[in-house]
Amino acid sequence: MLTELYVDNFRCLTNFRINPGVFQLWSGDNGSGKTSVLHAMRNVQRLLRGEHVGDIFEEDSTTLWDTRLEQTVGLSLSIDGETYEYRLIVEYSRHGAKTRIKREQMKWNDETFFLYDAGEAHLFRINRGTGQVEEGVRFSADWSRSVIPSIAERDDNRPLVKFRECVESWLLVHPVPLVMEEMARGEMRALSPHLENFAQWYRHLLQERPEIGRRANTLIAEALPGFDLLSLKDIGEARRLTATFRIDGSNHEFDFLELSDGQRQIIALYTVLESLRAGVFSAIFVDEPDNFVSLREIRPWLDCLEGLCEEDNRQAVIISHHPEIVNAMARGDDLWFSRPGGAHVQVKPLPVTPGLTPAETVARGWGDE
Amino acid sequence: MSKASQIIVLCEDRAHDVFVTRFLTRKWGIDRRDVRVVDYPRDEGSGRRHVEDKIEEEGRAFRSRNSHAATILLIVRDADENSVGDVRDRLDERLGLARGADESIVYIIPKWHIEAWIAYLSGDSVDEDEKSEYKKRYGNVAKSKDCHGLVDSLAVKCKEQASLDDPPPSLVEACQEFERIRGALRSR
Repeated sequence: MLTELYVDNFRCLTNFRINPGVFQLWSGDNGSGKTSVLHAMRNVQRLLRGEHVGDIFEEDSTTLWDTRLEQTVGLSLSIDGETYEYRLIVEYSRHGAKTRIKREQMKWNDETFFLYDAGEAHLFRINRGTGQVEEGVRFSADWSRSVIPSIAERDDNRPLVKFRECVESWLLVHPVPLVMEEMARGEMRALSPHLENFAQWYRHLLQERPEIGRRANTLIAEALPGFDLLSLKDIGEARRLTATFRIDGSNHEFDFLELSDGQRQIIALYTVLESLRAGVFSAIFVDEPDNFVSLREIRPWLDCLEGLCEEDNRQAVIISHHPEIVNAMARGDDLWFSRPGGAHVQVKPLPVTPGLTPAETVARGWGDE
Repeated sequence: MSKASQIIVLCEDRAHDVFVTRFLTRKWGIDRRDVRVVDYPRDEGSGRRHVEDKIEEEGRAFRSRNSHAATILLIVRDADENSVGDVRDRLDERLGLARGADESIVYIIPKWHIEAWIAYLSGDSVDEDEKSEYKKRYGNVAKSKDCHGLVDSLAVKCKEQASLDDPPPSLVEACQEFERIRGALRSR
């Protein structure tokens, strides 16, 4: 579980620190920085998947009014009762030279377990005899990408691998059914930011964990009358995502793109939910899941998600302006994002107005911003 | 054909919401989509006024809808310092037109607050004259999944029409109220 996130000098985020909850709402005005937070997290995730820092971190992503050339992202995680702290400092150049990793550190239970500094990587290990952390090899390493993704798993470096796997398996998305494709020409392990590759990811999912697809089908059938099955049909080398509906006693197949936007969104949301339950994702951060979903279908999905966060120890952060979601999730640990005077982002709990529902409070606004 | 929301819950706060929603959906097997909880204010202390302000509007909506679709209106209000009977009369008055004997409008009225029922379900011997102790001890339980098992056990007993062991009087009255809708829940 992500317990703390720190971002500095990234877009409108300056010395920004939040504590995500187990099941938490992030809300706020348009342009108040919610999506930028997900972007910063996605950047770290991409780095830990092995991408080049220069392909991920863009110089124009530093805060407009900040002249510093360093950008920082910090994460604190709690996994199986152990704490993990990660801090990445990316440095840009004024003269168009390449972006580089200046410093990268991961601490496990307050002890440094990985360090990259001044061009040198330091690996640590757990001593098999004493159980203590000790420094292992150090070597010169390229500043253009993180060393962490290339570390092979061993029983004495388990914390580093566990941390990497946890961050890798976050789902950070803003689902947009309009851009979801129906053809799967191959398999993909990770979902793209707007779920464009849902069909390819689903193909991978069915290959690796077919039971997740079956369980998701059951939930989708409760939300979409007549829905029976989501499957992949062979079209030459590729496969097409197809939904089967039972209408008047017989089966009818629909190409995924023949479904409505709302139907595609519901299918994606419940499949994501079941994947979270099964541990495919360690946590989900979903921006505006309510898009295109009918009013009466929002709460059942949300209730289901809350249930599994509580009972299966998963984490879900939902970004939304929707009154159904705001009213359901605003409980005091929610985060309200704002940018007073258009400057850097600030967060606070959503204000309470006596006698008004949380959504009505948001709709009416308050006087101090 | 689109599905209908059939049970409207008008309640004061999250503890009521958790209790009623869990009671109906888990052991009675009612689809979550058929339970519509009217949004309530988040601040403590506004819930009672919220229920009383909304009851007439919800009663009107219930009666207009009930002519063409089976609907249940379930109202939860803490009795606080009043007696359950007084609160029932008050709700009848606020409803505009008093409840008919065959109308599926149910009043669930815990004496002082619903945390007293949670205390009873947890095995405590409950004194309904006690004003704040149960709220203090069970306030967090009532608002979270921690009360699920307790509510489930009550729902099972209610479904099997098993008798409760020395229940608080306000819970006995709520069980009698529940009989107004037992048939409607079974036939759904």
